[in-house]
Amino acid sequence: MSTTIEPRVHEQPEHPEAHPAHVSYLQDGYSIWSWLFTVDHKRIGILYLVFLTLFFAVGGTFAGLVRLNLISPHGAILDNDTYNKTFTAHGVVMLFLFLIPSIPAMMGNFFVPIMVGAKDMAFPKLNIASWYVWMLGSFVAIWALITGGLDTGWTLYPPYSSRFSHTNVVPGVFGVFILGFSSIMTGLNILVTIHRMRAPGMTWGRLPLFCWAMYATSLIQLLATPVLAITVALLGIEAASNALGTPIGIFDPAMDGDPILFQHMFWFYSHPAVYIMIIPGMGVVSEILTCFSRKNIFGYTAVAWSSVGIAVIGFLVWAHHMFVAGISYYAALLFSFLTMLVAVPSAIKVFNWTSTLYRGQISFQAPMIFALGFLVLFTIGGLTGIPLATLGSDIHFHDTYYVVAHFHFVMVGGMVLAYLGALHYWWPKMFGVMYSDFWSRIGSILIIVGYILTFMPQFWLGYHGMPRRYPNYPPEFQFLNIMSTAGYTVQLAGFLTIATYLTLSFFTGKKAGTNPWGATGLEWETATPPITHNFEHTPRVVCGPYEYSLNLTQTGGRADVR
Amino acid sequence: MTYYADHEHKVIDHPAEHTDSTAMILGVWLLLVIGAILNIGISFAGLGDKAIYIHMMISLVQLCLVAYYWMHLQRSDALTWLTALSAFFFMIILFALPLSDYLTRYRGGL
Amino acid sequence: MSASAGALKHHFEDIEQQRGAERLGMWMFLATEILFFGGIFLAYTIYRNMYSKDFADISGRLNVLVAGINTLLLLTSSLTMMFAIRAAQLGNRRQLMNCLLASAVMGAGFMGFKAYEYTQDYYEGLVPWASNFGKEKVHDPESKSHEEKTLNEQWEAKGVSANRIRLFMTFYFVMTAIHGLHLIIGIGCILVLWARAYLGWITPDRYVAVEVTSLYWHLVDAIWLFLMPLLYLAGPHHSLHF
Repeated sequence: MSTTIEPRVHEQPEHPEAHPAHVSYLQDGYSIWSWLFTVDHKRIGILYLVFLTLFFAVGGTFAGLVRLNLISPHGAILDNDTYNKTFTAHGVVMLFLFLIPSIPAMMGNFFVPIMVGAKDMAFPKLNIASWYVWMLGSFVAIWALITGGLDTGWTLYPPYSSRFSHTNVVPGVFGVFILGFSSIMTGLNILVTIHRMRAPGMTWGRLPLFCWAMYATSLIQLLATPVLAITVALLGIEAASNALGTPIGIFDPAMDGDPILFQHMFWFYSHPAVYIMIIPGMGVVSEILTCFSRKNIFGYTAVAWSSVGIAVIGFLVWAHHMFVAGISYYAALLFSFLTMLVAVPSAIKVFNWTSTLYRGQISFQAPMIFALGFLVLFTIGGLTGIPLATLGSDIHFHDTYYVVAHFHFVMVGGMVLAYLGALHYWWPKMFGVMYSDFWSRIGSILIIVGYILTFMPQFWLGYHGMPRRYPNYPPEFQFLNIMSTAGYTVQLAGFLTIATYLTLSFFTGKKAGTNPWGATGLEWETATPPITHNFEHTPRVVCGPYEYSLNLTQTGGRADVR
Repeated sequence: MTYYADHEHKVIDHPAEHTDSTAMILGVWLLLVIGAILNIGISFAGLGDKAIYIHMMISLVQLCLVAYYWMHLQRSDALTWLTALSAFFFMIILFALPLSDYLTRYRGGL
Repeated sequence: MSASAGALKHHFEDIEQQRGAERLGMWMFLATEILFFGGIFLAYTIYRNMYSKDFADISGRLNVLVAGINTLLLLTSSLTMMFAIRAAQLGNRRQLMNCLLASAVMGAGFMGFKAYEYTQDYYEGLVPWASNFGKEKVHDPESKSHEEKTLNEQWEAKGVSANRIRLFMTFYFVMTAIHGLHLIIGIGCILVLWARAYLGWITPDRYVAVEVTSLYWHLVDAIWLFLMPLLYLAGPHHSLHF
């Protein structure tokens, strides 16, 4: 039996922040300069949102080209060189321009200060600077990808990338270098905000799990990204030296360098990076599951600390990307063991979420559909990581479509669903309008169905040996490849549906009240949309973030006052 | 230390409450200079391959002096210590795990 | 920012909260710098472990005198930064400006000696990107004769690989250049502080600006304290000069 929460759209007069003395952040200045020179964390989040959407479309287009090319066993629409550039572009854009900044820079910027009860981030000017740095890095990277492209794969392994590839390696890595700074700035800001700017009564034990997740993510952003910076800097120096005719060999075996050193340094960042991508999504899932099952989270402490656990252990496992690269056997043993460990905190989360759902009053609006989809798809993705962590089976699976399916399950089935869920959950708060409930359910189901159709067949393909990054394959694999491409089309329909009704909500959507979902977090106690300073009066927190059974918001008000 | 507005107590700002003493500043500087001279001197002592360990130890002592006294870790709160120590902890991981690969190569497998 | 506005920014509740946030922010930034340099230190360590003989040979021929002078310059510039913080806290504008300027000048002196070193390295044929790498005739401190052979010949005679020397010199230039870049940025920050002090904007309640800049400066100094022995003292020295 499910009771549907009908989001009520008229305001309740007794809500303290319902009629604020100040205008909302959207109305606080209409000129383009008031947006480009803003220091308001909410506006900065919206600035990120606009370009995140654009970059997702760009990355998705590259994905479409890859999938279209794979309809035929001999490459349907692209020649081999262009195919290399296309999948590299897909990887670079999706990872650096979308997945890494997605929730941290958009929803993290928007909601972390509100959730801790502060007026803004600790360093507002650093915040807007991070957006400009992100814009600069994005344009350099996209310029490199469009003019000539990059055909090394997003992993940029030398000596191919430094000596043999005659593509835009140097501008490409320069773009990545700049993007890293934006990531560090956002992470630093969030860490200091959570440490130093919590409202009275907001103890660590009362922080929403989204904030715990953002904290863990920011830890990784802060500590791992610098290593990527130095790695791509060294690669850039080597590639530039080779291009100028004065070769040096930092990673080049012909000049006594070690290409595996690059892989160590590269993956030291890039493995924790995947946790930068997923942990915020996990935070969002905690928020959505509790609200739409009207229950407190099961095992708050376990879920909170598991975010930190994933972040820390995630730093120890990177060489599982290098099992067949030529590392020593004993190192491979060590990393295989450590990789098994990192699954434990993720599993703890999944068990706690499931227990949260048990005997809840569940309703199936779009945010909940996305969160439930995350639960299933992330679990499948995570479980398929275990054969990859196991040395023996990894020899068979490495560099096949099994790996591709695994990481797309966790990144798309996990993170993209969580991002969309977050967008749908917080949309009424950010913009003050509600989207169509019916179409949002259709859109979310389309995405999930299309997604499974795209990536499930790839497990079979990989298991039967189809290598990744190849533009051609044996004819017996064609049926599964076509199925995968068909799934892309369904996903595309889903994304277009979402884009349509979300855009329409600005024009025809009903005006949203302060708390359309009846949720308990501090962000639902601000005006809708929030005023520039978030709160008229500093909130005083009296209880935990998910007191649904007591119907209490964090400041002690009634949660179901819409 | 409160991290939010504490309306009962008015905070009066005394910026000069925690100045460093001239003796401390100069004393640390002297120790650092002695360390630097020692460091360079040892490379002339003919220790060969093992000299680098002594060099690194001297540098480590110098780093500890700079961090504890000059960078005010001495009077910093636990969070600052945690930040500094975490940075070093992860740097050690950055060294130890790749070295676990490089130092165990060429020893054969099972 | 006008001098008449107080130090407290609008989104903070009180001044100690703000100072705590600013210090913590700088320490977190320093953590990123530690990991940034840590990456290249790791690469250097691994290669030094693999090619210890070659690295020791070339390192033993670097100019330790200049390295020593540079170390003293940096240590003393950190000293003057400490006095600058004190001066800011006590409201002593003249001393603040003098100390900041002294730090900046000593930092610039460091860069000056670095530039001298780089040119010397070029004339000795030690720049990996230059066409004369290994081809210059240089005095060999270990040989008894006064005849000067090219570096390539000397290396071949000793059984040392030119490729590995090239690798060492690449690391030498990249590591000192990145360190130097950080130093230049630090000098820039100190000069900005000097300008603000000149305009009277660094009142005692704003001393934290000087403190966080000094934190950055001390880290750049500390990195040099590790960089110097690793690069210059990796091999035995016979004299202070090349």
